[in-house]
Amino acid sequence: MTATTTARSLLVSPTHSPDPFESSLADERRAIIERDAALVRRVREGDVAAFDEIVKSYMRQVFQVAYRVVGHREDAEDLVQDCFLAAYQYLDSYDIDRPFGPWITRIVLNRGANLRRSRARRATEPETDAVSPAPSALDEATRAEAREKLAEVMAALNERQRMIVTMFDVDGMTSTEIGERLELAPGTVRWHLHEARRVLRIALARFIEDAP
Amino acid sequence: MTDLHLHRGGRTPTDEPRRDPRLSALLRGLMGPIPMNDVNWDALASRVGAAIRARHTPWWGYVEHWQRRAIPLAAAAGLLSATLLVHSWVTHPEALISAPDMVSAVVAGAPAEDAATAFSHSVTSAAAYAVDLLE
Repeated sequence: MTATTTARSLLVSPTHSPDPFESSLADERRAIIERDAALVRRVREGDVAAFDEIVKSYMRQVFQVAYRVVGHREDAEDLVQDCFLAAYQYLDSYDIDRPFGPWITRIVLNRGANLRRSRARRATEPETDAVSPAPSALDEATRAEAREKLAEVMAALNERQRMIVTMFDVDGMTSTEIGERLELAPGTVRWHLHEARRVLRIALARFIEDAP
Repeated sequence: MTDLHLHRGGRTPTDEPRRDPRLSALLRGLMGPIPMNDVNWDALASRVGAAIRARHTPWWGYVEHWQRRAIPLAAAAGLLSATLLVHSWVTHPEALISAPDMVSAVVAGAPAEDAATAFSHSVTSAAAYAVDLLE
């Protein structure tokens, strides 16, 4: 047996069995892609009710991203509707072999960026009735100043960096989860996170020191 | 301390980045949680469904919408055409005959003068018929 054959046989027959947790996640992911593909095929054949099922499956996920993009509940709900309409309209361009979630998330990010630009002032201030701010050592004046600075810094980040740092540091998602949601490699997620955090830490240094 | 510094401290670029509780606390305090409990999900789903149905009108939807008006209109138009055809045949038989005559003349390779005569006869007959109808 040659060295090449030995190496190949080692690749084909790994010495350790695959992680059962990873394997079940992959199965679950595949099942979701197949379910979504079947629904999309039905929609393409004219079954609008099948799209209702897609909406119900993804509206929470879409709303989470939409809210983080526009920062206002009602605007986020409008954005959700707008994005599903766009998804329905351009469903022919969706590749059914790929997951639906990242595809519609990209629609949210693109359309949300436009909406945020058009409603800049409203979007930078979180709505007071929906937000229960975490306990903070910052007084109200400092909070307002910090919020203004944050809006300024977030606007300077690109859409991807802004979403990644928010998902990781605010919503507590892991880089793998974010990668799946945005269809990015975990390494790419980590790089964007690093860049976004670097900018945020510099811009918000004074407020970070005051934070509990 | 940046995340790259953390990598130098024995971590590799493939490791999950460390949580930064102070940065997270500040961002959470400023941005607030996502108001998932404030959304009426059923209403939102219905709203999206209604918007899609309002936009989605397949071709048979238009047919269905117009068939009530289109079918009687088509029947009336057919009846009127038939009546006019019968009327024209009774009152001006030459108007109907002259057009085929002209075509025959052209197809048969008649001299240019004969084809022109047939054409002018056809035009004047049709014009006379139209004037009759208007009167």
